[in-house]
Amino acid sequence: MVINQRQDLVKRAVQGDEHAFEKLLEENYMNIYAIAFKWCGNRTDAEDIAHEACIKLARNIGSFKQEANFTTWMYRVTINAAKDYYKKVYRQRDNEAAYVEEQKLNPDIDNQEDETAIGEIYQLIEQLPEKLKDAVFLVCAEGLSHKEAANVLKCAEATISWRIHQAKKKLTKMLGGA
Amino acid sequence: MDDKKLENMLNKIDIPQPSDDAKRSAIADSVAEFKKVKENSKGIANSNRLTTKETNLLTQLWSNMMKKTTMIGGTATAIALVLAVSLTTEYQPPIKIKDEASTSPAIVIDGRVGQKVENKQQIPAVSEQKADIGRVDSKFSGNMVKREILEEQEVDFATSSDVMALSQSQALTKPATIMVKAKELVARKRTASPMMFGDASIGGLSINQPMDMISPIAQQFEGNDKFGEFEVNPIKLVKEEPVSTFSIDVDTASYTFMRRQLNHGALPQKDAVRIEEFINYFNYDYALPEDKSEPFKPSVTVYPTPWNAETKLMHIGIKAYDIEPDKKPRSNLVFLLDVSGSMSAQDKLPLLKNGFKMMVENLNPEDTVAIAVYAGSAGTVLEPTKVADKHKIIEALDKLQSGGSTAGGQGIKLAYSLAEQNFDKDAVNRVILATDGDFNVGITNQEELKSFVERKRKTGVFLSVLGFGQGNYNDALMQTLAQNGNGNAAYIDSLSEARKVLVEEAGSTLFTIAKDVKIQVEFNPYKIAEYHLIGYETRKLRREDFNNDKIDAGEIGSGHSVTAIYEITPVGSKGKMVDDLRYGKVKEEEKVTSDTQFNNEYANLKIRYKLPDSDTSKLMTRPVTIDDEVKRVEDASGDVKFATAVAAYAQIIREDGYTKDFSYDDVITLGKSARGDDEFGYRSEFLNLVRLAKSVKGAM
Repeated sequence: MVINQRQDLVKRAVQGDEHAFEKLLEENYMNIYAIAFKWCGNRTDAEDIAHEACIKLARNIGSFKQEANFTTWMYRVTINAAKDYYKKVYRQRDNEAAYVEEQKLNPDIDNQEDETAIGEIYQLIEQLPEKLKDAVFLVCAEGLSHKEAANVLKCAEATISWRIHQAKKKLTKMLGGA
Repeated sequence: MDDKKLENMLNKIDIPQPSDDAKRSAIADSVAEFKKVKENSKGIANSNRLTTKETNLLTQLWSNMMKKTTMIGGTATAIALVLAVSLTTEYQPPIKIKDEASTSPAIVIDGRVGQKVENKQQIPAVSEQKADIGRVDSKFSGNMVKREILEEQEVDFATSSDVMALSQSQALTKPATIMVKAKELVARKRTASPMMFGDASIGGLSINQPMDMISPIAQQFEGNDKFGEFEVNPIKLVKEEPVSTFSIDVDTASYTFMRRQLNHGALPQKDAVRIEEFINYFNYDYALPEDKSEPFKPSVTVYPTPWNAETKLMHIGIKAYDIEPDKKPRSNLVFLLDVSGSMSAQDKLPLLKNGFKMMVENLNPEDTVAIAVYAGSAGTVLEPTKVADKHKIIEALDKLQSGGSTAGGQGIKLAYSLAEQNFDKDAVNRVILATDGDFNVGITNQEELKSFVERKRKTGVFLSVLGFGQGNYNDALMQTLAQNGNGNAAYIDSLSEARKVLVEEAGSTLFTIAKDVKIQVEFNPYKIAEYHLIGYETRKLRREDFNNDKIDAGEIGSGHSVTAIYEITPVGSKGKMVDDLRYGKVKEEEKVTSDTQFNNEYANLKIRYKLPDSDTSKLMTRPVTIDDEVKRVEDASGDVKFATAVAAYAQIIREDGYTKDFSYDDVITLGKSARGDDEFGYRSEFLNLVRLAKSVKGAM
């Protein structure tokens, strides 16, 4: 979608134009869902999270300041929705085992080896401290730049770089120094 | 771990298509929500016009301020005046500060003080206003706030006390300082009005918002605020459970959180409403004990329930005496401050800094303060320093910055060791933790954190917790830590609240008069059939816990007042909710036997407490008799009536159901009749909040 068109849509939605808002959701639903999916690893949960995220967008778009980046905000809302959902369903880290059990990735992945590797990675990333995990997701899974990720998480760019660095160190350790 | 490898792995994920249903329902539901939110916002804008009564309130507050602010002088008052306008009308006149050093009025306000300044704003309507605003005039009349201007504007009710507080606070001497703080206040109040659509223009006036003051993305009220769950107290049958036991609570966080939510146009979630904290937010003048041998004395009143003709209310009030200034022990304090990235918002770290600075200004030269930070840079920012060197403390506070990565940090252990470093058994040794919800203080496991705090309190170092901001607020954990640490938990939503908690009530926060205070009431089954305790759901104790000194309970500080209200159903009343047993023994409840010495007693009230440096509790007993009863609500004291109004309000917004048809208007009528002197305006502020709740809810 052309940038100007998008901004215009956002502007109208903020001002209360419900058709603009609806269109905005249509355009962005897949993105939201994708983020949610990468977060939790299964389709049903991702759909629920995406649903929650859309509701939150509806509630808060009225106060969205247009100088800011809509995508950034959308990311943040979605990630928060994912986390909330997470906490509700899985309580604390103590239920990690249950969570890991539940995490079913797409069975259609061709390469069997990679499938296990991916599953493993997910488990490990899951064990990272929350802030590191956020950074890893945004940068490595979503492909955001460090700067964009910093905007989403409301911290300094250097912080993101540091967190990615830390995350990798930990992952390496967890994988037995691979 | 190869960068590329990691990224490749994560990117390789094939994302399955969401079901059509999911997409459709997500979009449909959100659009519906969007429309609903829009409807609500219209409602608020329409019903927030200032009425004549509120205009008069402003007028009155205004003249109060005028009388009290002579010590600060003309400029400051002028600013305060402008503030009152901006805060109440959401309009901020552009204000320039000429020169701090100059003695002439350093504040120049467009079109206001009659000084020539280029008029940058298009303010056709407002310029017609009388230019009285800039003048320090005791002839000030109610014309200042013209009703026409306010037609379409949101009015921020809770700010009148802020304004008064600002102008009264001793810490603010320079007009420039006041200005900065004023701007902070205004910016904070304006940040995110979630219910207003459109850009920042109100009723045609274009408002110049200082961009640096407002965080670029609106706060989301759907954040991560966590509250412990609880069930509303049920009605109990005296026959089956004649004894009610609970721990007192002097925390006030629930009330301030509600105020904050309401000022942003939303009712708080039900878990966030703790009725006893609403009631206890206000100070009451219950009778003090005659001599100091006992730290407090209970006062009891029984009176008809305003919302139910068939029941009565039993109001228990406890007031602790104020420690005499020369008897005040020294304070050995450690501020443990959260400086994580999320603390950068205006209503967090900046507010915290100001609050603590005000507190330090009020301490004695012999007191010591140390500062430690966590969740950003970790470590000691200031070694224990005597308040006699207060500039060092202020400087350290000023230098605080938020941000940085989460260094694990020793946070809480460090804070306690600083306190222990300077431990003085005759002093108050306390850690004051201030955070917006990040409790990564170095102990990640919550249970471990709680037991750590508990162990430390046994060595004599207590803990109080202050919450800031929202979206990350962890109320449940805050309450628990404060309880375990023998301290109180408060929520700071404004400068004025910071002043209330850290200056006005610093005594209560710091000086404990009695600890582990528990209340037990035994009802007389011949007089009372049913009862239920209003509030205190999170403070319930088992019957046997009352006599068990090992069980922790709440603390009462110097000057604190604590209130608990029961709704009781007298025997024979038509209002009895629970049916009698079919198979139970039928008691002759109506008969009064001659040897019943308890004929005149409704209940027996017992209170256990420990003196601050003792581990053995003492017991106070007091029967509640018909001598404590008044026939009409009107005959009860102002304090009792006001507490009742607050209790009613809390039950209404929590939708407990007990208050039946009692409406917000009824609350206002009852509260107004008991407003009393209301020196700081807290009670008036309460009444305004009730009005606000009414409009958010949509007329009840």
